[in-house]
Amino acid sequence: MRASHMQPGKLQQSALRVSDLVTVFDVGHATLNAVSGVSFDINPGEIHGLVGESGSGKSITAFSVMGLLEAPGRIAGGSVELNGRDIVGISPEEKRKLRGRDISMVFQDPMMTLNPLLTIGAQMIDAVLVHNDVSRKEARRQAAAMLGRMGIPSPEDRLDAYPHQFSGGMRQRVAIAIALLNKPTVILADESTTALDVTIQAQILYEVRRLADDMGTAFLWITHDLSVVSGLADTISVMYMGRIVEQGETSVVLENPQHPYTRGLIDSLPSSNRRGEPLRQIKGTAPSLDALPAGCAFAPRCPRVGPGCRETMPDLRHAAGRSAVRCHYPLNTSQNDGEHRDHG
Amino acid sequence: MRESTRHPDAAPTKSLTASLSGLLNTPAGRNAKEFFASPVALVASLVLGSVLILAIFAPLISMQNPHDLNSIDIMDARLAPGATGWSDAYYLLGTDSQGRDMLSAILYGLRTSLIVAVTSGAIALAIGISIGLAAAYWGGRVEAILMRIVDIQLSFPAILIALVLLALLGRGIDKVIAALVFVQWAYYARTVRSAAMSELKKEYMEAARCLALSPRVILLSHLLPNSLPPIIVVATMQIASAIAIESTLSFLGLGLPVTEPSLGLLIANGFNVMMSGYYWISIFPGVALLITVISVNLMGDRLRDVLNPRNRR
Amino acid sequence: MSAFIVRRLFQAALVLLVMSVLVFVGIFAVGDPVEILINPDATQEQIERARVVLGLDRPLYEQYLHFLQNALQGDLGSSFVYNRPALELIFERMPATFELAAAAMLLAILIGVPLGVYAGLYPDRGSSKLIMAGSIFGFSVPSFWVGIMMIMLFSVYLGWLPATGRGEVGEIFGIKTSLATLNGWQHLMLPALNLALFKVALAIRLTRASMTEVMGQEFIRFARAKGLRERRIVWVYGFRHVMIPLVTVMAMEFGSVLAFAVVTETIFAWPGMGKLIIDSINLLDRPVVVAYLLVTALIFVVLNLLADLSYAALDPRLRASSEG
Repeated sequence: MRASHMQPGKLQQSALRVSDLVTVFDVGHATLNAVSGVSFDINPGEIHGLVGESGSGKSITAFSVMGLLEAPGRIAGGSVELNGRDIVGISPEEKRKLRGRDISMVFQDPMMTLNPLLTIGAQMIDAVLVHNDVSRKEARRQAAAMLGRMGIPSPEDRLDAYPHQFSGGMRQRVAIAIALLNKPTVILADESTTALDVTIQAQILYEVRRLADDMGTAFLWITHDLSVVSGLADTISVMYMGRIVEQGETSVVLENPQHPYTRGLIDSLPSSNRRGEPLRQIKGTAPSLDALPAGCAFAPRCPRVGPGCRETMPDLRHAAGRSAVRCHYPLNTSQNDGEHRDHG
Repeated sequence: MRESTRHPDAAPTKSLTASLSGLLNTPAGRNAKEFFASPVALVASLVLGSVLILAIFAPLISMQNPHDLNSIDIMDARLAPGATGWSDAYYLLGTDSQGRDMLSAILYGLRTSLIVAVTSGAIALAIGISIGLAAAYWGGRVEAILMRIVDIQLSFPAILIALVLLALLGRGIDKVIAALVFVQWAYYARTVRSAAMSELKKEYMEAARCLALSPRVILLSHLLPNSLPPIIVVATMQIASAIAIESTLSFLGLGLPVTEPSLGLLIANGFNVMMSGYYWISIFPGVALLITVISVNLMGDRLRDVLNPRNRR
Repeated sequence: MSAFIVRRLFQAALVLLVMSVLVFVGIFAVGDPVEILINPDATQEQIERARVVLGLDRPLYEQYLHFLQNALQGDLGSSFVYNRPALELIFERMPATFELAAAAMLLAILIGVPLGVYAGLYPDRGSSKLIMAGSIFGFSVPSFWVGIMMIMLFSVYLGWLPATGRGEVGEIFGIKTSLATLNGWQHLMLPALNLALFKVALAIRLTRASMTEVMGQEFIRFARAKGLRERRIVWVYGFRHVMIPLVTVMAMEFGSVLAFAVVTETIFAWPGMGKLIIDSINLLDRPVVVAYLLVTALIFVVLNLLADLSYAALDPRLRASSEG
């Protein structure tokens, strides 16, 4: 399903373009690189998946984009262009104006993100009134309309309810509704369906896809779950230790992964494994940020590790018809003819 | 590789510095290092240490025993600080209405206050530990009843309880200690219980139970030592509080007998004559009290930061 | 919800009953007031007669039941010293103490809470650390001594404020209080500040701790993600959470303030319940002591109940779980 509002012939201005984003944490005497040169480009109506293990830097990327980084974190380089405008260096007040209006975020656990002491109506009206000069009544009307759009029954009444009176799936719909209220260009969703059970998750993913198509909202969908991304995202980036190791159209990446890490992730999905056989896993564990090895960060765990891997960091290279990949010896190249061998 | 005249088969001795650095690497040692890293805590510890030394050695240091009526000269009453009395005695901080040397009285008073506070604290701690551990370990009805009693007692202010108890019991140092124990035990019990409860959830407790260790062993050798950090912090604050409560009670005339003047009583005496300009009788004991209590509280505050489980790596 | 209230009321009544027994036994089983009140030269016969008149010759449990019966009718005996109903004496002095306690509590909140919010929002600033250090000072220092020092400084040395006594009494909304007159305020200032000292420190620390905890929560981050102004986030989203523990703790601390007023009233010669109780203890005026303890117990129980109820009122999660 492609975004249906894309007009042929018109040059698409990207909704969100992140270029070489670098985010660091100043901890004691050291400076830890949480995000080291991440780039991606999302068009209106496109859903871009950002996949990686916990600690890969994907949430930090989102917070950096939103301007929600808290000390001791800071953006140390790169640009974030929202509708063509770089928002990294702008004043905090300007950033505040963009948040909730042009760019929104949905977090993982809606029970924690919604204020338990205020009615959801109050919280939604807040979001409308801070960015729009309308009457309270009008704000309320908009809130109820959005709730209805998200599939919540009797929205007018539900506005006066408190978060704890909703089920988990409903709460997340409310959170997404809040994010959508001011019709933002981009929505960042950080593990937004991880806390929900599978059927609810499926419903929400369906809604999201529909919204992207109908409203032209771009989505950055952050998750560690490849199966979520495979049905939802148009394009994906695979992140490892603060860098993107593979990037491209979802079908291309998942069917013909080039990076050993991506291959490992796909192989470790329960659905990729045969019944009765031991589950395949990626060997080892991700190193901590203060002990990053020189050279490719994945080398210690990589089944294809070869000369030069531990010494130099590969660049992200884009080959025609394939995904971009950051690897000295990507899969489907001469070294291995599409198979992967264990080197250790 | 030192040359040694010891028997070659004997176990090698460690040098003093090696032993010390070994000690410093134990958890307790690391905590101590962190504790003293704060200049405030360092100063507070030094101050408290000095106070303790002065109090313990009061009989040796002070020029007279303020409890001994024979050593006091009523003719020297209400002399200003720095004055010299009839018998050429030099009164650094002046004298009170009975002719007692303020400095001596303060030192003895500190002694009394500290003894009362530490004794009552220790007894209350013992009671509190027993009850708190029992409540946490056995849970159920036992816990419900015990904690109810604790809650009810804690909902009444300490000063009121102490007041009433002393009204009933009369004066005397043992009665003051009893009253203070009564006031403090509940606080210890509650702290011990909540510390024990969070320890009980940990895996080593389950292991101990699986090993079928006797409850006594589990409680004393496992549960108690690991619950200690918050208890230590509370104990520090409680001792400071006990000192303050005791002096307040003495001030009101309900605490220690007149013959063993505590700091509170000295202040009370000074209050009566304050309007006539004899300010020193109230100020100096108060300052001594202030310094002591603040030092203990500052140390307790720092201890809390250091021993905070969230800070433990 | 109503089941909750009924249960709490029942518990409260139980506590009061237990308290009455404890108080009775404690007070009436100790000391012999006859010795104090009767002329030391009185004959044995006169002493015995006095005992009968004062009802001190009956067995203890009979005295208690008699006492309870009277208590429930509002009669807690007459003061041995003043020869007036004890309860009447207490009620006469109560407004003064309440006035003092309320003023102290108000001061504590007005001074302590904003400082605590500030220290909680900017914990690393030097001024915040100073505030926290000051708070340690506040609860370390023995308040009776501070009171004395205050008198020395402000009354004796500077002559700004009166040292003792309560000021002129006026009327606000039909209630007689010294808050209505300037003279009243002048007399109230020092004792109220003195009494508030400990509570200011408590308010600062409590507010700060709650504030730092709340501001680190996810929903604050989400509020920022919505683009709300920081001011709104701090006060409507953050502080409202802080109010819950704050209100409940302060409600219970009010009881403590009432009790501690005993000391302040003694120092500043404030004509309240506290001074009465000290004198009564020393004079073994049992009925007054008993009346005071029971009234105080009642107040505490009520305060605890109010604290619980306010908690439920402020936190919608605790209300009827049958909705939704």
